[in-house]
Amino acid sequence: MAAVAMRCARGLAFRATKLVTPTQRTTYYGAQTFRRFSRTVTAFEPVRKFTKEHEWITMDGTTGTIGITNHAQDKLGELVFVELPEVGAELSKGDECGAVESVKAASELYAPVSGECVEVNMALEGDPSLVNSSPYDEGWILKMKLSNPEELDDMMDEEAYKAYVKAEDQDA
Amino acid sequence: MTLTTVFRASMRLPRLRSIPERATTVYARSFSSEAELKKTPLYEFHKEHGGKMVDFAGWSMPVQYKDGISASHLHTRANASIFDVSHMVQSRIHGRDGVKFIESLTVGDVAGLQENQGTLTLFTNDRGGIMDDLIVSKTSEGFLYVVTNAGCAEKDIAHMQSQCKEFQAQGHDAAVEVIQDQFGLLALQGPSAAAALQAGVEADLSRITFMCSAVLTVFGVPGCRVTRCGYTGEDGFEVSIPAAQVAQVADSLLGVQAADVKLAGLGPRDSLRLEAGLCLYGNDIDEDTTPVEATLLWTVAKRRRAESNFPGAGIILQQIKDKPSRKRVGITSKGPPARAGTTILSEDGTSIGVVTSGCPSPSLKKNVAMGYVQTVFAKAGTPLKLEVRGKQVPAQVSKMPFVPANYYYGK
Repeated sequence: MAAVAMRCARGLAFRATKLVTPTQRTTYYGAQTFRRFSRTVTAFEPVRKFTKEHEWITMDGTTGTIGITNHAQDKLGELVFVELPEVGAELSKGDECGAVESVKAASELYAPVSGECVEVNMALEGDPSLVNSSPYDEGWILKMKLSNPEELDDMMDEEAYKAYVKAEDQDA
Repeated sequence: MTLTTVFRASMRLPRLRSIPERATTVYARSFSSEAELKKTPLYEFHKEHGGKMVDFAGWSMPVQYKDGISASHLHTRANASIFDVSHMVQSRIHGRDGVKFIESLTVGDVAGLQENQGTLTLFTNDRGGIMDDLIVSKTSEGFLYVVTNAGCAEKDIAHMQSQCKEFQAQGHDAAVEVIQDQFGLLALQGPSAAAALQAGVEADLSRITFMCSAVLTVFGVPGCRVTRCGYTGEDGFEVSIPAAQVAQVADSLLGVQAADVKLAGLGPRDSLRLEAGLCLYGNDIDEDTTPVEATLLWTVAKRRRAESNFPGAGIILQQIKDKPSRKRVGITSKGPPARAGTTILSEDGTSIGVVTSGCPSPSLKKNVAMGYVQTVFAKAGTPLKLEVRGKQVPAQVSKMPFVPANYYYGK
């Protein structure tokens, strides 16, 4: 069930961010098709939520998968190093939990929620640029077991995040 | 929209550790709106070509193009790239005593230059600190052609003009003319730079060697000063072009058949100069750093040492004798890159210095940095540690340039 839920999340993300490379399009339609056959999946459909720090989270039960947004990776440019947190680390919302580095700059990552880091994306150690090529899928950074899921309520949905980015751009 | 402002309230992402912003902290912190920023003659050209514009020293400059910094960096090392450096301050020093005047402010032997030869030199202060680094060329037209840093523009121009007034008051003949508004400046850098530029000039460029210059018609634009120099460690040229024709020349260079020329921004310019071991003013050298500490002693000309008549000479010459307590060194490491401000530790964990520039090297696939360490730790091969986000990363002192220079000294 978890895997199915993740697939749907991907579909949603790609539609929203117009990242439509051929492989991604396949995933997108796959997810769509699947939903037509299963109403239960729709009920479990995870929603991607966003922070002002340009991070995203999707939930599977009490475990959240976390990464940085397409907008963030685009602004940072090609990543050459990702520092991952330690599995087992207890993090409070706002704690520094890693970093992403391009040739030009280092940027800290902050835990968007409180909880325990239960998994990190080891693939990023070999290929940090997965965050650029696939920010919402293969470029995920860490998974956390949330200790206070209510923290999710303060986050933005896709529409609100888009508006936030737009306002930030105009502000600049 | 700039990288500086996008993440202002953000992932607290690029925390202004990056070079283009950091080099000019004063300006970057002002968060100038796009409209307030100065524009080079290539501003529209950059936007048309997909340049990501950022605030650099009060100028709207491309930090990169669509290719990204690493790709653009590697392209420059393999082919050739155009960098718009029109934000740098170009001046002319006129007058019979022009050489004497510029020597009164710098450590270089300008009198000893051949006609149309140039040199890197330093403005020093009375404490022996470096006010700016600059290139001075002794032209065959009777004036000196001077290029100074954008980040120091206000300070340098005021310094030159006030000193010139005093110099004139002593009965000398010299005058400073800032020509930045009339001329743009393009740096064409890379192993194919000469082939690309040769397509647009009649003169034989093989006769112009490193640090030498000539006034040429370039792709039909007369009155361009072509100087064989740069800031990447590669062969290349800086071409001073009448402002109205800069875009025309850039466009022609992009179109040459003889080489694959691309536009490059300040991002690769910074990683290229760092690999080449070249200092960025404001980061690696400043008013509290002496040429001795910065290992730029080679710029303090023999004749000038003997005469001991440049600003801060007493302190600098004494430091040559005593050896400085700290020195600029190159540092390499793997893992998380050390950026400017990173503490340098000795093997036993004692703080011995600080990194002034650092980035992952696109050419070498490891991290390169420069910084200042206590002189006893300055020898190449000395093991060090770098404190990055609370962790100690093993590193070592390495010779600079990290990537061998490829300057053209003639056939």
